[in-house]
Amino acid sequence: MSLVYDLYQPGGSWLHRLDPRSKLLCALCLCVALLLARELWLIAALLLLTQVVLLSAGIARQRIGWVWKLALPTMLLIAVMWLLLYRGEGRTLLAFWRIEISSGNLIDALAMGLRLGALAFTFFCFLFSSEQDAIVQGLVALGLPYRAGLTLAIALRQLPTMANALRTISQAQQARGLDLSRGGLLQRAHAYIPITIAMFISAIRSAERLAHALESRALGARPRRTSLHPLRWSSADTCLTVVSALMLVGWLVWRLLV
Amino acid sequence: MIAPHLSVEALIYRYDPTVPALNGVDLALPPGAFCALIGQNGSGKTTLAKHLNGLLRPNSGRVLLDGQDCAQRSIGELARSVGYVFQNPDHQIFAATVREELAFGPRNLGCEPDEIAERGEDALGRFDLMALADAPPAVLGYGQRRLVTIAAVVAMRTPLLILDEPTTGLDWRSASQLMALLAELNGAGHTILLITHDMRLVCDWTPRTLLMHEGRLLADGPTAEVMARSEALARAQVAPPQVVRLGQSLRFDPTPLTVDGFCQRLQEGSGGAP
Repeated sequence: MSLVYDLYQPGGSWLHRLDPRSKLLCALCLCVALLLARELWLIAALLLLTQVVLLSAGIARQRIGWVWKLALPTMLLIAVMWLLLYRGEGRTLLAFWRIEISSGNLIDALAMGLRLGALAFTFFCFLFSSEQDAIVQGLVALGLPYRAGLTLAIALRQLPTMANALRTISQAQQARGLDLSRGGLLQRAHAYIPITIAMFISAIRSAERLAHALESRALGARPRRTSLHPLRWSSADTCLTVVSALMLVGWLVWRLLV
Repeated sequence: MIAPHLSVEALIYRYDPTVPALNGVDLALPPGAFCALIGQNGSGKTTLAKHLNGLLRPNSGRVLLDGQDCAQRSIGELARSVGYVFQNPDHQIFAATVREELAFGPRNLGCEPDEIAERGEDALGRFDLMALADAPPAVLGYGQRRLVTIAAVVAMRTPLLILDEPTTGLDWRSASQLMALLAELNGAGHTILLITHDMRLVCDWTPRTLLMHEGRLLADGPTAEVMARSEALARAQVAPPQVVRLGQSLRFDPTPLTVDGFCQRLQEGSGGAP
């Protein structure tokens, strides 16, 4: 799997053909819905929707698995923290020491965990199907300054590269006898210091090199930029944006009325 | 120093399920070996090396260190026997000073403070880094950072030492000094495995050469014999140094590997100075 260098998976699916602006606007609508939704079924349905979208767009299962591997620990952590720290309504299922787990509490915890997963997958639907140049162009067309758009796109593109560097740095320090599995939580956290510092040094150095390379390739030499492949907004983009916005507004109104 | 006997049996490893990065590698490194591992980019050199200290675990096959399967031992445990210098020094450097960077490995191995200091000073001296001992390694030039990372692994005094392209970014003098140091360590009993693209260094310094191509060992033997296998070298897209090619063109047998060796052959042939 070539996640090592890029999040984008080349393809010609319906999702790939959409304009990045419409995909981003649709993703934002989904995010608003996910952040406001309390119903477990709705959050689960939206998470399922992201999986269907990714699979129907021909995104490799390994890529989808990679996102699950990244998101699942945080999803579980949030759900467990919610379960332990928040006292919900409903029938008490379990009570020990100062902790009381109720049915409402359990549903809320599940919803919190799934919400995080659905939010992550919503943006990965956008990132897996949009080229870096198209993302920059889309963000600029939506009003973001070019440099800010480019910075954001580069930051996103660097995610897999950084993950790869982190793995190599971790290997390099372990090869020098660093044991990441020994001792309690604090000792393990302390063992990660050499990895974290090396990661920062490597990231700063890499950012500096990239900045020099961009400047030496005349970034910012001309205030007005043109593009070899300008974005094309099609009727499918209009359809997706309108349907997303209408569904969001409709759902919000329904929530206010009911 | 008694180095362990390292052997690799039918090693297969895949990053991608469809393409094997290593496709059945068999190899034996007896104690005190000094080998170069060569081959084009992507041939599997680093992947093979990462199996020798447990950073990667085989999909099938075995890596044995003194008869013990490496898959059964942790990376930390293997770090006592196998030192590994990574290709990019920025993947290793983190400490505030060069001295602290050198102390990291021995401290992880459980050495006493006196011994950590002694090993650090010894490595600083060997690599001519004494003047930089209190400098932050992250801000040094590339060549100096490279030496710091090598010194940091040498300070661990592991019997087996793997170096992934250690001479990249070093000028010829520094590279030659480094190779002389590695030869000295080898003379003291360390087994050295050197991954490199610099064929001149291979011919000048390493008695044995392993040639990799598409995840397999294409050739393994004395460097002179491997350099004589033109077909295998061409298949692996590796070119011997010019002096070796010149010797081959002149049909010198055995082919001299170094300029000095070539001159000596000329002298012998002409009966006087060339």
